[in-house]
Amino acid sequence: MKQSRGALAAILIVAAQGSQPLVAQSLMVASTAVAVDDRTRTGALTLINDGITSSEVSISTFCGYPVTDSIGRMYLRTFDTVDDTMPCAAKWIQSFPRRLRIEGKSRATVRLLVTPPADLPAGEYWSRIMVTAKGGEVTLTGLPDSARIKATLALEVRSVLSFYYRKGTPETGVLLEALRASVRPDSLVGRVRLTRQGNAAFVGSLKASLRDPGGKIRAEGLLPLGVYYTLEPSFSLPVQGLPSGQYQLAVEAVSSRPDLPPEILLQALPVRQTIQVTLP
Amino acid sequence: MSPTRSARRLALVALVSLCSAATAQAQNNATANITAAVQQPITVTKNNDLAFGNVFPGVDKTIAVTAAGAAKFTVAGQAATPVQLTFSLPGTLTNGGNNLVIDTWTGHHNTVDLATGGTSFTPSSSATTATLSAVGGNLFVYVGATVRPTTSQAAGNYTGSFTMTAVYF
Repeated sequence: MKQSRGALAAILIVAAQGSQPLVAQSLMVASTAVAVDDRTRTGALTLINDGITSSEVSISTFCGYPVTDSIGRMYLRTFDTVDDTMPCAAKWIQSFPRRLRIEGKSRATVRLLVTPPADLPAGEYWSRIMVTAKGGEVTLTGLPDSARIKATLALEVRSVLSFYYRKGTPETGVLLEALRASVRPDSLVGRVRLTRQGNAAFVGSLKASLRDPGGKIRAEGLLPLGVYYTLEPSFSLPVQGLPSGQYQLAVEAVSSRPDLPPEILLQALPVRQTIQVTLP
Repeated sequence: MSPTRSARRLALVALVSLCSAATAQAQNNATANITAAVQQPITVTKNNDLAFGNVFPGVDKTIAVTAAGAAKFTVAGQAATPVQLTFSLPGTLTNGGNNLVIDTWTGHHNTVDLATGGTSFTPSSSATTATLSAVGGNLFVYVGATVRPTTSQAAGNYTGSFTMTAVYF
């Protein structure tokens, strides 16, 4: 059933190409995360060049995971050197092929083979996969013809995805703490600290909702995220037009993401935290 | 039509078709439920080149992000998903030993296809975090710059590289 579902999704993606306008370069990468276990040690990426020109594509890996800055924005922390304590799988991943040329309006499949150390302890190991597409150009048109000057910028577009290698049965969970919120003119900006539990990243979503005194949801939002160690993201809910008074802000971390198939995600019990907020 | 919207509509059509087929089948035979969950892939598209129009030797020319000549990209994926953008941009274009200065890069991203009303940023190697639109899952990115040809700018083909990285968390 999983296979047929995946096949249908692939067919739909391919079929979707037909209705798009022609563009010079456009690379579609599916899926946006790859999980490989120690039984098969293989995975795959589907690449679709929806542009009208061919694209030179290369696959590379590196170590990194999302963290948050002082105001709650997520960014990818990367490492030039990786120490032994970091569960990084980047060096074990081989892609077949590593470089390929995809003609315009064509697709290709890249196989990923993981070769970990033989004595690897059970657990989850991470990497980032970077799909680099070259081929398009950002042409600087109109430079002085009289001087016969031509200028061209070679365009390189990189898409960075997450990768998980799982040995044994890793477990995950998340702890929610320190929920707080501040009221802005048109929104309620909240932050909450998420700390990973278990020995695998918590990949899921943070659901936020604002209920009025009658229990009716007046605003809600969803933030897809991955908690590798600790994350303290900010989120905002629209409150413009809501009457002043006491409201309940609830956040819930769930192990589902709308952009990822459920078989990639490790399941964990949902956790929830609430606070009271006053809208002026 | 955006790639995301297009894929979603097709998914809907396919699901409706499957349901219709299953209903028709139910009149004579046992039925099997068929469901399909379509996850959105990530797509990065270059829509427009960076076009400076007429440029004269010795006269700097700036293309603002709002100008028709601004470079434009579209990042498409799952609705309301955060993405990180970084850029690697040249300060000069080269032609053998000759340089053509290009600098003052400017950027603007928006969840609708407008170069105003979104968020302005300076394209650089520092991370810019944005969120794909809640409906459609699109992010439109506009990039402008300034070229500074000298009065004696040598003729030739000047080249450089422009890299945009989109990180999915």
